Amino acid sequence: MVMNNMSAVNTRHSLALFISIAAALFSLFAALSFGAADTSLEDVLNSFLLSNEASFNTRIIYELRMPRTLLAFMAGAGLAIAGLILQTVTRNPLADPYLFGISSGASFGVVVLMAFTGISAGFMLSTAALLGSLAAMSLLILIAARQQSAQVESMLLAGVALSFLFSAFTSLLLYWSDPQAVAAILFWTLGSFARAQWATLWLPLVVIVVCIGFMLSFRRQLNAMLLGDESAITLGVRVHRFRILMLVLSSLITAVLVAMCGGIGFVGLMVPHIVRFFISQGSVAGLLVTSLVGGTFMVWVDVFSRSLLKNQELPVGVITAAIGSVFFLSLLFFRKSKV
Amino acid sequence: MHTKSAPNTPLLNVNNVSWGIANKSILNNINVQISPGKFVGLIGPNGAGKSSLLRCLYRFNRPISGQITFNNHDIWQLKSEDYAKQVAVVLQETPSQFNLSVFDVIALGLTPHKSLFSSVTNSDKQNIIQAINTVGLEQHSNQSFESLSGGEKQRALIARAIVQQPQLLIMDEPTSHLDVKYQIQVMELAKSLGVTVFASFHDLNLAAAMCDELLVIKNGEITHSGTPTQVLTENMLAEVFGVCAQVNSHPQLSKAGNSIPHITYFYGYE
Repeated sequence: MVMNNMSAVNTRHSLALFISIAAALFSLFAALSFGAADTSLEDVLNSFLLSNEASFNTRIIYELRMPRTLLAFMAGAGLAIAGLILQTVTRNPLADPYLFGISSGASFGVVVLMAFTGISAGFMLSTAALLGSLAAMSLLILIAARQQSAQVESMLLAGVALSFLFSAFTSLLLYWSDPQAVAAILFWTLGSFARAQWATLWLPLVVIVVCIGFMLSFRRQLNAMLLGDESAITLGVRVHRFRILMLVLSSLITAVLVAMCGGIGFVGLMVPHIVRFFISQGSVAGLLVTSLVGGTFMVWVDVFSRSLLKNQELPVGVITAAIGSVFFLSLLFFRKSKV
Repeated sequence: MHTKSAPNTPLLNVNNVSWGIANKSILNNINVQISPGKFVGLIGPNGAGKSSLLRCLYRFNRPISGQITFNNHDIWQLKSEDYAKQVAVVLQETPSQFNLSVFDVIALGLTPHKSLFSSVTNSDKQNIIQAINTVGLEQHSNQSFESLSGGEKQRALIARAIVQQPQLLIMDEPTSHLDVKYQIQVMELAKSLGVTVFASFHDLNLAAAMCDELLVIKNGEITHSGTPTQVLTENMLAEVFGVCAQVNSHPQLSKAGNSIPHITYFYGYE
């Protein structure tokens, strides 16, 4: 009986994993055919098969769309898993990578750079964003590491306070800047994958793969945290150290992604909840499916942002929030209560 | 000088342990010995320090002074996974946020036994299934833990403890908000496992029926200890719990053939 139940669960998990892998691969491939230049799936296939042919379409697909699609996938996957981890270790369903002031720190870094040097694009911008978010992250970890008794509460409150603090400085600097800088920073905070290049793609890839590897290896400890700190301690988890380690990992993912694509909210909050509707997060499959669904979702968001309006790109953050909240609300509304 | 294997060497030895928070002392010079194979109960009024003492034993609270040894090792010198391999804990109430399935919760008992990258082997799975069968949750293994009733949750946590394969099971009032039937069921389940158990009790009659030995804690000090018959006296109940009661014998005898004290409370204190 239990055996049958178990194999049913295993089948469901394998099925979920299989579907999300298939959807991710298909989306990565299909997304390459969308964009300003008219290309079909056939063109995409051709550019893969006849790679030595340096046609115009092939170059668009290889040099513009592919790095961009890959970055979108990594961003979605990374933010979703970071959200899952933060929700787990704080046991707070509202936790998400942006709640902890990491993106506010990044915006602050960017605004400082723009206000004092006038640079509004390029590698320096990402560096400034990374430094800003690392500063916010270090402050947060400093506070969380000092507090032993009410660590979760101080983490959440400190995160919210830090995010207000950095926003205040950002607004102050923007108040003194010219309107052009204001427009640039607004576009930056709403997120875009337009800056994706093959040359810089390795950084998020390495960070995300390493962090996901760590998280997978700690999955039992993560589950143990869900039943409360006290219960986790009785299972041999060093709760405080573990929570800080997970905070560092998810902040690193977020910092790198914010630096490369700007602020893309809501994915980290929403995707873990959506996946949880279907499978238990307690398994390896749960973690992997969460990141695959996040990645796939983001690839399509990027497609929409490129193709909804002719000759114009919509900010990614607007689309994630719009699609995401409608989808999430309807899921909440239509979901049958589980037995 | 006795050897480690001597049968009366305590499994757990609490030696002059004191603990408190913010200058307020909660436990004062506690001395407790738990012998292997015994079912030991901890009783005392609310706020006496039952949970604080148990928390010291599973390393949630670190004593201010004194020493706790397990198999002659200081528990704070052991690695946390190594201690968790030997001591399992069932708490009063376990919150669960994100719908872990019952199976997932029970599988958590493997946590201290598995290294980071290892996966669940077939024999682990057999152990988990056996534990599920032992506590009678076969029908519920795929349900979410949160959807279980109070008694089923406690049984699931006992199954988790079984998977943990401990020498000592610590339980902090595991039945305090269960119906009578489940109070008895959960405690008899714990007793049937054949491991050493140290549990705090709310219900004194249940404690009397289940335990080989009882400890009474009041204001952070152990005031009485011994067999249920020795400990549960009318004087002790008046002194420690502040109630007037009559102690008779339960019509049933314990498995070992000893008589079980039974308390009848009197009412009307104004």
